[in-house]
Amino acid sequence: MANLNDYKIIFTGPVGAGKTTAIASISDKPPVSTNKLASDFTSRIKSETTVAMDYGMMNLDDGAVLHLYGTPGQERFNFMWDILITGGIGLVLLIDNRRKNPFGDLSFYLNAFKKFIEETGVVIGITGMDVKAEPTHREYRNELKRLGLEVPIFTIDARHKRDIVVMLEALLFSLVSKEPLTKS
Amino acid sequence: MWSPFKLICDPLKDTVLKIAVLGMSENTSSVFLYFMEKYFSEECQLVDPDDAQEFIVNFDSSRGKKQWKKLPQAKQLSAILVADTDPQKSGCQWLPKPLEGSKLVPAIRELIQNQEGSSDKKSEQHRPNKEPTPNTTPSGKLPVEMPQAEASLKKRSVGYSQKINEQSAIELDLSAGDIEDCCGKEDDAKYTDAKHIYYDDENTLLAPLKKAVQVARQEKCGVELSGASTSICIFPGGEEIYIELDDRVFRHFCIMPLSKGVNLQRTDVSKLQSQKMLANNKEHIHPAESIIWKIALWTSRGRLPKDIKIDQAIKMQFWPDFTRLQITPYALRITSLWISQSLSPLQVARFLEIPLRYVFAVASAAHSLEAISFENDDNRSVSIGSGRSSPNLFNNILRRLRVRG
Repeated sequence: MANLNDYKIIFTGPVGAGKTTAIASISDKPPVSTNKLASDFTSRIKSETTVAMDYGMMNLDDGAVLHLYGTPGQERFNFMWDILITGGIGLVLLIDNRRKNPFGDLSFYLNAFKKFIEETGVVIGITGMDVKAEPTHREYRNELKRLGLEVPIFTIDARHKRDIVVMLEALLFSLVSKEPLTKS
Repeated sequence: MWSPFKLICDPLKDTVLKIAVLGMSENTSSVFLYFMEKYFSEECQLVDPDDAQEFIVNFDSSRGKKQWKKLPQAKQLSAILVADTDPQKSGCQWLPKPLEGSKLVPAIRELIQNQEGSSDKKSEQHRPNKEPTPNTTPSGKLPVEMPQAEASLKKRSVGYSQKINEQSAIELDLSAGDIEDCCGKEDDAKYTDAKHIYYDDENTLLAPLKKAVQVARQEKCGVELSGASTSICIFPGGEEIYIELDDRVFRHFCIMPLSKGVNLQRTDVSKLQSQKMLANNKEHIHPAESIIWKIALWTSRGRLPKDIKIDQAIKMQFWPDFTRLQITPYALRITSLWISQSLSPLQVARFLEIPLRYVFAVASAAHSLEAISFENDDNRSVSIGSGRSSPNLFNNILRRLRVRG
């Protein structure tokens, strides 16, 4: 059951970009299906039911919990996204560099979550760079510049805990820095 | 055929509208399942096609279209068809892709209302209260009140304005020796004159290396640096650099002034490729940005390049690729501040209440990647908050990441 000390970070990106792996790498418990979290639903659903969305969590001090949600579904059936992001403190966008049009994916997701990103913040992780090196990180930076965004973007391997930690820390620091400093 | 729905048909809910999804993948079907359970749990239920009264069809799927065609005509006409373009089926509701929750909710509500309109008195007795459930709205808009977790999470302050004083997990990776090699060890009190604050990269390996990478990028050719203390080759395109010496040894050459000039020599690709092949140890081939960043740190050792003045406002143009770079203490928070604000190195150190050498190190490394822009507004000053001691969410998360990192 959620309480007032619960927060959530949303992981999104195309299928296969590494959302499940990224969540697993930092979650206190192995990711589970949110289907299984719905209390009265649990008893009625088969254990092999397809996972609707990834879920992980981190227990923080003072009983607080950071929930980690991976967005469900494919791009053409994203009707759960606007519901899922409610109350989120930031977005982790994973882009798979091996896909046909990674810049198209980048643009699609930034646009799909535009309002949420404006209200909170986003960090971008590029996966699959070891398999397909182009576009390069420099080209992604240029693309973000073209889109008028100065958001953190990193080359990552979702299996590496360190990469996910860097992403989350950058997200947190950029959220803090969004608040203007006081001019004296 | 896969079906999660057989087990969830509750015989007691005989007035609940039974809906099936056709032509959807397993994952999308399970998302529908979650969606219906969460927002229409009292009014409708996902079931197998054989038990369904109404249908949501992926009309771009040949399987979905085929299944829809087999339905009795009355059921065909009341279906919700999800498709890229309007399939022009009269009587059906068309929802364009990408399917949005704000359009799906009213469409399902219309199905429910149609069902209620055609239901008999018996079913009315079973469900006397027709008011919308708390999870949905009569207007068909997305629910304002979110159930459980969402309700408690909505519109909550997370304390962004409070300062972060927790050490980053990644920053703690570094040994004291590494930190000293990258950031020096000078206390702020030692930065009293230009000699201690600034360095001129023209007298070091850094400047010719940056120039060589630029040439390799622009001319798409290989470049060799001769006259340096070790063999250094930049591969065509400037994305990779071969350095003969090991990091541990090489870092000490970076701080030494060059006794004589270093020459750039364009080299043919085959020679470099063979060199690359010969370099069995991959550690000698570095991504260009990663090694330039490191060399800038080792060269600066907590000093500023002479182009950047200690009280001059600067800004960072982009986030360096920190997952592939040496991260020095406070590097992420220094960067986040310089991305969002135009501030002098002095102001950054004061605002974050951290030693100057860490700020100078980041400024120097970012400058080497041409990430720094110079601002005219150099009279800015920031007030230093007093909230460092107050624990907040971000400190809390950082502590956990540190444990897990």
